[in-house]
Amino acid sequence: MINKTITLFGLGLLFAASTAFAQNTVRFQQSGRLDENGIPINLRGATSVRVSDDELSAKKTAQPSQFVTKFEGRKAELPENLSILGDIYENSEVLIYGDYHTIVPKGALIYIPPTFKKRISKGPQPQSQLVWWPEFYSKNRGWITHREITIEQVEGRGTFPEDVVEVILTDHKVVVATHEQGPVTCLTPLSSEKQQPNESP
Amino acid sequence: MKFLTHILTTYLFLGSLLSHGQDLIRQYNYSTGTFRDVYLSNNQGTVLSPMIVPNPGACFDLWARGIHPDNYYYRLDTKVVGTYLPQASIQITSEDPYPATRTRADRPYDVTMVISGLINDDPSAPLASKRVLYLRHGENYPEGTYRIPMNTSRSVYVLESYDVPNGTHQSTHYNSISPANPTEATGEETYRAYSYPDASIPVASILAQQVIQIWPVANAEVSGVTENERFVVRLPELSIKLTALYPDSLTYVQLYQGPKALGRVGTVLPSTVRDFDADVPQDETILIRDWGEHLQEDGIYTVEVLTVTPFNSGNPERLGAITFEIDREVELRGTVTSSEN
Repeated sequence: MINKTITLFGLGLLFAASTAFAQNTVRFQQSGRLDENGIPINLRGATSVRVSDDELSAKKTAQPSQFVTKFEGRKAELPENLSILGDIYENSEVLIYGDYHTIVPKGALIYIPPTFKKRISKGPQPQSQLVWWPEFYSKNRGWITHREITIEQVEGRGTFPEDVVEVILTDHKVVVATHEQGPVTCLTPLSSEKQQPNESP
Repeated sequence: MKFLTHILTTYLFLGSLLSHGQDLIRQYNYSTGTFRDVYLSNNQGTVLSPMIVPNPGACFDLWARGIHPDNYYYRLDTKVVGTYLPQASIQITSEDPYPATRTRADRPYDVTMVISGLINDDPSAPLASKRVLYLRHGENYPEGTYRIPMNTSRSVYVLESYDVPNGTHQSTHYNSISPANPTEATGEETYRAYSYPDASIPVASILAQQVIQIWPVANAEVSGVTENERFVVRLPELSIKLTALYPDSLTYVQLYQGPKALGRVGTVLPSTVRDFDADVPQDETILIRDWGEHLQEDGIYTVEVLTVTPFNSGNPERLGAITFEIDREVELRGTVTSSEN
């Protein structure tokens, strides 16, 4: 085993701050641009006039996107399996209750009792509020539980002991796989022999 | 199995604007196809990934939720860690220094992409070791909104794609988000560097990414007075409809005597001043009543709407102007006659 520490510095530092702030929050400036009477200081006259659509079209035509350094790139075809959107819901299971839902990794639901199948979904849920797993779980312990699993179970190289399967099946709760408290994919199936017909996963 | 490592992840949010305590890093291991979520309790800090990272590597996505009532979620960053991956960085520079990269529909911006770690001199090497995929794509915000829709009806379109070698690649662009009216372009453009798929990592992995938001050019419509209108008795009420004021903008109405002309400094109408530091463009309607006190003398006047933004070197730009005439002096023309003979 190679022990090596890698620092991903700046994860989340700047990029996407763009979309990150796309919320309709308005803050009136404390900008120092106004005097005590609310009048702009340092008044100057206009130096330009708002551009029209025709003028802008002409500017964009005159100056198309271009590389300003020597460019040795070539036009490229996109790989077939390229996912541009990369939405978090693509790789998530969705648990819904009331006006809220949460997401856990794809494959993290070890067991879904038939009673609660309607509370499991996939894809975005624009009609309800997304909350993260810890908050959702704390408010829905009546029908959701989680079970710590090993790396071997995560990767499909483990098994679930019979007594564990028994507990899961008799508890009648949705079971989310976790590893060190964090939801995780579980590639090891729950023993199917004891599952009743129509039970998941 | 040969393990690469645990990953020490340092994260730093522009937190006060974004986070409310818990955000998420999702780790994806290429070899097993498994995901693991790590929730963060602070806006900045360091966490150790609880999942070891097997060869050939893993991908880490940092996600955050908006602040209530914002029901949206945002991918803040992506990092790929692997044994044989090139390095890439992308920087977008606009005239607006705001941390979230943004610009206005009529302004160009610059992109710098730096690629290193590729093997250039081996013609027999696979594409993944010689080139990085450079992709530029766009996405319009739905009309009336200033964000990507939170449903499945998203429409992303590819604008450019190149395979590029090591080096620093600088380019300049106008946005290519193209509604019928280019001044109304509203959306975002994304620049990404991907590693090409190869035998060890079978999917294209994002090495670097930057997004720039494109906001419309503000507009002003003045109603209540028409160009060259003459007022004799009383002044009308003015209504000024301002649309898509730039998020960082100072907008006001001024009056001056004479026909419209650039460079004129007039009397600012105090009730019209709008000073914004927002995340998205702003709409406003301003009513101007009882403005006769600013028009003491008869003559030609101009009412002008100005906006100051990070563009145009910080100088005011005219959004609209109307020239009109005040003529309150009453002239009586007539004769006085007497019936006496």
